[in-house]
Amino acid sequence: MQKLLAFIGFIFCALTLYLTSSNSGMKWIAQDRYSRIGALGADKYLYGDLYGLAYLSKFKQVKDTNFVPLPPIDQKAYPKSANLFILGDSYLYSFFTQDPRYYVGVNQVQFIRWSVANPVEIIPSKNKKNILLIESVERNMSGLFNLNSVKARLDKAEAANSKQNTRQKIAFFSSEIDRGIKKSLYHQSLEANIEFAWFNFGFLESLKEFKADFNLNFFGRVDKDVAISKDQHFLYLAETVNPTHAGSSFFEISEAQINGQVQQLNAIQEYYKAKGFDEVLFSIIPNPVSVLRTENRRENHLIQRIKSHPDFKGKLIDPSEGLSKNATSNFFTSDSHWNQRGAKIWLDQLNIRLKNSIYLGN
Amino acid sequence: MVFNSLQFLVFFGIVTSAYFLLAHKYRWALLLLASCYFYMAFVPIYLGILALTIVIDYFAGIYLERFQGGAKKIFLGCSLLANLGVLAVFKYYYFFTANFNFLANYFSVPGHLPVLNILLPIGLSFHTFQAMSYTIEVYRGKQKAERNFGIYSLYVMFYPQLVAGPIERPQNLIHQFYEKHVWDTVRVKLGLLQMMQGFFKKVVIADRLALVVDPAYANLSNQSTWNLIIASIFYSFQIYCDFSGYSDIAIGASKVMGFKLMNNFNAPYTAKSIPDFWRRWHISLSSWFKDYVYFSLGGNRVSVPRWYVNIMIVFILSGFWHGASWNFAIWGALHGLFQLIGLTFNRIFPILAADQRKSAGGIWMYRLLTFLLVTIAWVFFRIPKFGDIQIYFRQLTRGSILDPISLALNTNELNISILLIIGLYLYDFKRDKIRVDSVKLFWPIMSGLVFLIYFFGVFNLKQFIYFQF
Repeated sequence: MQKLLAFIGFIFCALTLYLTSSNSGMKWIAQDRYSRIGALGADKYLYGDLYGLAYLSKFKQVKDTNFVPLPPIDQKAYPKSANLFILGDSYLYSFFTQDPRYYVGVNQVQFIRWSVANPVEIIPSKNKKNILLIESVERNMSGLFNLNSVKARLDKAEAANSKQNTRQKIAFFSSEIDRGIKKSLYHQSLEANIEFAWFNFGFLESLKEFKADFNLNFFGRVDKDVAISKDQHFLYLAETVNPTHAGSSFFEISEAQINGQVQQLNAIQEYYKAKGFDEVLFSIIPNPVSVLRTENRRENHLIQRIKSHPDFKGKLIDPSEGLSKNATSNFFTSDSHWNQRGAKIWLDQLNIRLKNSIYLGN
Repeated sequence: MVFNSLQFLVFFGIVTSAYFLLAHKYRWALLLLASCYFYMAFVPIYLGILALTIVIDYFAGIYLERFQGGAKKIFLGCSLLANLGVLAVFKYYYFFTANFNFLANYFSVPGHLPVLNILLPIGLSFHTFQAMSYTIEVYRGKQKAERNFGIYSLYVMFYPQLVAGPIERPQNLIHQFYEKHVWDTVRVKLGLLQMMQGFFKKVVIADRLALVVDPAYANLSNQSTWNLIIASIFYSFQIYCDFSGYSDIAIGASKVMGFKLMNNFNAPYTAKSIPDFWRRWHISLSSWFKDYVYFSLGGNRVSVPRWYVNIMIVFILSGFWHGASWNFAIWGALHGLFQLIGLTFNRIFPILAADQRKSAGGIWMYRLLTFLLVTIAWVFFRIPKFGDIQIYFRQLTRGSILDPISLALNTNELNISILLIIGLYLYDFKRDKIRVDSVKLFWPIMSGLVFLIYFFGVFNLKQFIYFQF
């Protein structure tokens, strides 16, 4: 009997580890779970990523997961004469397919995610105009918008040939070994994967909500990664509200830091223009809290300060103003992203910029 | 891999079930492989450092047994040098160079030592001390040298106690790897209950208290007197629940497989004096220092001034064991000083001390005083920078006890925290009478603990405090 018990325990745990340690295993679990509705279905992202963390019942609203519809662009008026390369995050790839018809005058679009494991070499075409768009949400911007970080995603040769002294080489070598072992033995999202595999069932949803509501009402506490807006209508990522966090809209940023950031943006532009790109565009998507303005706190106005900086030589697509009109209708209440309306506002602004760049040359 | 994670539950399930499924002769190999996997979850490459000291100590053990006299001393010296050398490089080099360079700057001496920012291998002090206890015991002839390299490696690396103890002795642990442990339902249940008790201490108490402690200590200059008093008391219980919770999980996980690890805590805050506290707190470390350092220095069988010096040496070393920083040394020195004051007091007023301890009121007074002194010392343990320690005491004495409590915490959270502390204290105080580990009540207690952990736990995968040592 004990042997049988041990055998069942072993199979169950080993199978859990095997499936949650592989991307294909997790894909299989997720596909199966999301294809079901009800007790055995998954609820984690159905109502928004922040609901999936907080499980607060009053923020349970079904999220529209459709892509933004293709805009009605007159293809004849705008012949396709450019290639668009986008280095960006989920604000784009969760809302737009890799389809050039979204963009004015674009013949081909290539999307590279910031989370890419290895650098993706992008080669500018010789007979088309080449536009590189680098996009990030405000909270991640300071860590991503620097030349090394961009090169690490877009420049295979540069990553391999970077000059290092012996000490750096040893450190690099050992960290590579370390990374290799860790990658082969421990999936980087193992904890979250196990949690998903074991506990993400519809039948557990009411228990999770009960706990979350109890914690909120009795202890005034929500999940550590989530914050509730002051008007109680939105969930935010906690790091965007916490003024001690560098990604927060309320984190104090000095003029010197803004100067440094602008220098980095200029350096990125110069580097990729020298590599053959005709245009380098930047886009910083504001944190929802920067647009919704529910917190009554002093903001750092990061995007505006960069945009109006006298030394900034690049072109910045800033959807803040458009998003601020009827702001509450441009964001999900329980997701860290904008909604389809918000994404469309950004797309319209990008297309105006593309028209100017491709056809008017400014 | 931290104990308070789902990864650990899966790992524990696989290892434990495989342990009972495998034939006895393969079990040590399973545990060794599992321990390597467990350790590599932190920084895989540091397994190489551990392997290096294991190889050196393994051969040192064999040669220590084979040789006598001067040669034996040389082998012991080599082994200790290797272990302490690893500690010196990875734990103390930065501290040494930083202080050396500071002094060189201060006295305008040219030349600086290069500063290496090396990441400290997790649990280094724990497994180094465990390895040293092996060679010392073999040197003293109290332990036979282990011939099976795998078993010796497992002695150093046994995963439940690899990164935060208890620091075992070879006499207690090595022979257990040769014993055949069969499934014993009562023992398994007791082990699981102890593990669950550890999870409760960590997730429900320690991490909840951290909600008060961490923000208060992170922003000392904005804290009122009451805030600091509450944060300091809470920290005393946070570190206790954090560390003893870890020990409970380690001991419980081992117990499930049939291994018996030494007890690491025994209701430390019910101690009636500082020496009594050290008989109850981190027992495996304090007994290590007693056996291998204090007695080697002569213990109390020397002149009184020398005895006092011995005590101070042991406590300051114990402070440095925790971390390469002056605040840990001060923490250790304070405990040494408290002990010396206590000893002197007892020598001057033997009758008074004895009489006081006879009455219940007197005993409680001693308990309270001991807790107060330990809590004051924890302040130095918790705050690494001298400037911050100054701010702490300035804020503590600047305000009045009439100032309001202004902790960034919900009242219910605060009340529950206080209730948990009182509950824990009462449990510790009456632990012999309350049989929480009663097997007959396994299912009610287990499900009750699971319920409490799920609803009242603070889940943030916060690492155990003692992992950093």
